[in-house]
Amino acid sequence: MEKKKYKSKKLSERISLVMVYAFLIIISLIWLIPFLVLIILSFRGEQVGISADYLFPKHWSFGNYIKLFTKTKFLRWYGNTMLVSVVVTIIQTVIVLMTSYALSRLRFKLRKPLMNLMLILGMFPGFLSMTAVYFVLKELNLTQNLFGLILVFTASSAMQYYICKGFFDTIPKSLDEAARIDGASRHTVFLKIILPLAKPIIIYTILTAFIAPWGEFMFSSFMLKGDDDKFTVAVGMKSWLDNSTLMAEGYFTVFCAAAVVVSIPITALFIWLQRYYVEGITGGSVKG
Amino acid sequence: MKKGIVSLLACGVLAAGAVAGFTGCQDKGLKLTVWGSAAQQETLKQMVAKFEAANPDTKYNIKVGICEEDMAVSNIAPDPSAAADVFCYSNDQLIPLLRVGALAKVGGTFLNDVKTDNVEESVKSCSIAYGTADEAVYGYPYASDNGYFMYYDKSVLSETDVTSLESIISVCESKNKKIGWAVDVPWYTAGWFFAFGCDYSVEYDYTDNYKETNIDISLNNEGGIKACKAMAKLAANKTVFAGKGTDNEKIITGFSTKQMAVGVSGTWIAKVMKEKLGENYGVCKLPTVTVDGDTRQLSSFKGYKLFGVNPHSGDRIVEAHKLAAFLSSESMQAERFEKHMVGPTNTAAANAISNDATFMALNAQNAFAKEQTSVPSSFWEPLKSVGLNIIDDLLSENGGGGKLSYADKLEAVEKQIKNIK
Repeated sequence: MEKKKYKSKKLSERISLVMVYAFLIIISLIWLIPFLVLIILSFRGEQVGISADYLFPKHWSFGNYIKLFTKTKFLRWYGNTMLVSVVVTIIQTVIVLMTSYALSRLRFKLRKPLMNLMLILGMFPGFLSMTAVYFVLKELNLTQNLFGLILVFTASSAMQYYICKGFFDTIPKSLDEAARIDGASRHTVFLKIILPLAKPIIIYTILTAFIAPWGEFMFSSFMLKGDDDKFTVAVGMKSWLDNSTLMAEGYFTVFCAAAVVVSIPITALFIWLQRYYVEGITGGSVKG
Repeated sequence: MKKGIVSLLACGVLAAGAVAGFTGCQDKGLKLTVWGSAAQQETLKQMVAKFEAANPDTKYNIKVGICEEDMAVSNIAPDPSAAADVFCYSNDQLIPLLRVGALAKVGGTFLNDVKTDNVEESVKSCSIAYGTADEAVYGYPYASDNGYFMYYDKSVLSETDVTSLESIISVCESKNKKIGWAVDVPWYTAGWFFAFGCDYSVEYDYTDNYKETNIDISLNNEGGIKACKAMAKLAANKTVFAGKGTDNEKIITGFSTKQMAVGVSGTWIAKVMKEKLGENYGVCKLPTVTVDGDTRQLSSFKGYKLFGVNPHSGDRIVEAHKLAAFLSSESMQAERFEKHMVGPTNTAAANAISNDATFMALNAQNAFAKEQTSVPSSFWEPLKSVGLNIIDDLLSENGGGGKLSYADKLEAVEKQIKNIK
């Protein structure tokens, strides 16, 4: 009796497992197919665009990558985007961490209203203010300029404090107090006590701070008109799509190659930082 | 430690500023910017170098940037003062550009040269007669090829096959080839209606920021219904019609994979098409079509591309005019044709290429084309819906069975075009 019951349970378990796996496989296929298509198309040797009714290239080749780096300004755009993203990441990470620390640990007048204000302001999509921001920057002579772009991307950094502050709140205050009794300043507490415990959230902040400007298109295209020496990858690649002759000349596969190259730093960053991320979470949970 | 962070922050900001500022500060000389199509950037740079060499007395510092002719308005309108001193635009964007004050008048010797050197229609395409004898001219024409015609594969169709839509369809059916024709793109849809006598007109109130007045359109009539039937003849035939969203890329791909034998597009793909088709490269005017015993030559839009000068160029405006005039001169037009198959507006340069098969086809079609000047801004979207509905098989002659009748649809489209101002 016992055995039979056990057996039937295993069967139903197996069926549900099969169902779950089938579902997950289908979902992951749907998710993966666009990426696979992109990668496969980037190796297409023949000059045939996306609308061909076959996927796998008739000639596999690195031609698109070679064309990308020798015949286009892609490398320059890549450098521009990298510069903007790295600078934004540094500034934004520092600002977010400091803001979160202040809001989590210090008690000052207007703390709550300030948090609410930032919350409400954060609800407005940024591009609504795009035109206004553009004309302000124009007065400062910062349009058509990567510095202007950096300024815009970092300007509202502090508003992204929620998640980070939430994490800081979970670090026991008694640690701070102990350190303060030993004579540490607020600043020392932040750098020596809080930050070492907050590795996962630092990694998280870095990742989000990097990805946003790396793939940003709308504001960049509004700011960086015409001057292709200052384009970011998104704006530059869009300029290929806008040109019917370039598309006819087979730039779509070059576009795919560019997309693959663009995804490399983000992937690398994730793989590299993931280790710390997991480490940080488990470490934090034991201490918490 | 606090200082450390602050200085790190400051360093980051300064470094970024320095890099960004550096590129801006090192330039000297008379600054001009010129925007051209992404596909012709290298050519444009070489032309600019020639301009500099031709004017050794002035030290220029000319920057070349990207802006497609058909995107001039969307790139320039938000802030004309930040746009290039010289930029290219297609003549259908004339009014919207004037509305935002982005075009300077051509005058003096420049105007005389423009008028004497170029085909009259090309100058007309960027001119406005403000109710006086004098016309204001707002551009330097450089390309005459903003129109379309038909590409075909000579190994599939003969020269007589391509004269009528009916024979094209039957040959393609028997040889299992596709026809690429963007019936759902209003620029191409319109040609079917023009062929059957449909027309539109619009006037502008020059005293009120070029506001559109007196929009008139005739679609809902016998001709309009015949045009719909003609389109349905092609679009309903799933064995030969290549389907929705036919663009340049789809046509090129179709021809390279030998699945497509007929494609309607413009000279911008001519170079690639020649490469792909080789000796089977065929070009001709659009075919005739017969509906209810009424045979008509299909029509199209024709237009020009021009260099405009930005009135915000301040004291550099004369130099900007000089550059625009140079870029649209005979030799530059000839060079542009040689490198990119861009059809010239310059009379001499145009005569020099009058034997070119592609341009013979374009010119043959242009004889039946409507000038794409002053089109009501409300024209495009409603017309697009007609093409889309025909492809999706949502319309029929008498309606019923869940379908709208041609007459009802055209009436609705007419209303939309007239009402939206």
